[in-house]
Amino acid sequence: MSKPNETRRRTPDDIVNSALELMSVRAWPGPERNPRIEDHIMNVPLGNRTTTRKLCIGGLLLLLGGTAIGAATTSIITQRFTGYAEDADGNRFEVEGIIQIDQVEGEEGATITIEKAPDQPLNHAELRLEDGQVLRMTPTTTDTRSGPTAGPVQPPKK
Amino acid sequence: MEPKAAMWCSSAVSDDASNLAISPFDLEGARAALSRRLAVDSAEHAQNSEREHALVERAKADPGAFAAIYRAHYTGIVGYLYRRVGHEHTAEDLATETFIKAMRSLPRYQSRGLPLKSWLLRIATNEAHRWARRNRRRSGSPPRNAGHEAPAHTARPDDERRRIVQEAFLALPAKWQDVLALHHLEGLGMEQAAMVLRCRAGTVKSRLSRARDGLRRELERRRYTHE
Repeated sequence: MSKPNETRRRTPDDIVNSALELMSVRAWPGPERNPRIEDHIMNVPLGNRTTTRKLCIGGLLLLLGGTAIGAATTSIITQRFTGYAEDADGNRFEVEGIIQIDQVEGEEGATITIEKAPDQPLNHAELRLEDGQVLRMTPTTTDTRSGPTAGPVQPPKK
Repeated sequence: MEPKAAMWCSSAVSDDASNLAISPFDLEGARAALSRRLAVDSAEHAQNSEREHALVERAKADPGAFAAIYRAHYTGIVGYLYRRVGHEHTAEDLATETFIKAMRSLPRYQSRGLPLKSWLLRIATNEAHRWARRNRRRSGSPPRNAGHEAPAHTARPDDERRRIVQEAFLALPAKWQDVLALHHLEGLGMEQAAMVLRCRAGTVKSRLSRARDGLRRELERRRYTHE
């Protein structure tokens, strides 16, 4: 055991060890998820298990206010959602998936990927996003091949 | 500084020794405790490898299953890149490239005893090399972690030391950075680092010695003080 007042002789390794220690203790300070990777994963064709429906939403700026709008006008936001959808016959399905809002040539658009969705076109959907906001959609036209194209989104449900 | 793997090994011995009340001279008992611990660890390792193999095979057939690989390894990989490049946004960009490339290459991936994390670390290491080359071409000098620098009036002594260390590290040849980062920052053993870098453990060992000398010179040139 070394004496309390004894000064240990420094070795050339000390400086290197101290520097590496300083680097190694740096933990990742950022988020644990990466929307760009998640987006990439979701946009790869997933076979028959998942149905992807693209809904081009006009006037998306009316929709959510706050964070969603801020993010949509500057960059992409990606959030998971859960909720329900109804088909043309009024059958109700529980759905979940990912919504991505982005800006292309000055126009906002949303790509909604619904996992495990039914095969028939959807007529109406109400989706609750991760941050608690509720997105309600009613289609303006229905394309039986790719699913509905939604019109303006209704204000969030109180 | 001892690598993390070595610290784990010594704690395993002392834990078992105290649980079994082995006297300091009971070497046979200590050896038995250690071998029992290693047997448990290797069984767990085999189970994990099996699980990982199944996950990889599923992800090869169904890209959606890649999400589980991403969730399991994202923070590990982005953390490695962050410690290496010293800048949050750069690390995030490089991690994005790493996972996108991994996803594309997965159908061709063959484990050959290499854990999936080592494969991801290899891709991440290559991305870090590309980033360093791009920066060198642009500026004609080694990349600086400009984003990490705090303004002079707010910088704390630790920030300043960290900045110097990061610059000294980034001034080293890529091969030296690799061994320092994998062994000292990520705690990989020589064999594991060799698997990531596709070279022999002996090569890692000799590179490590040269890399430490190189880092010391760079630190001294920048008048780094460690106290």
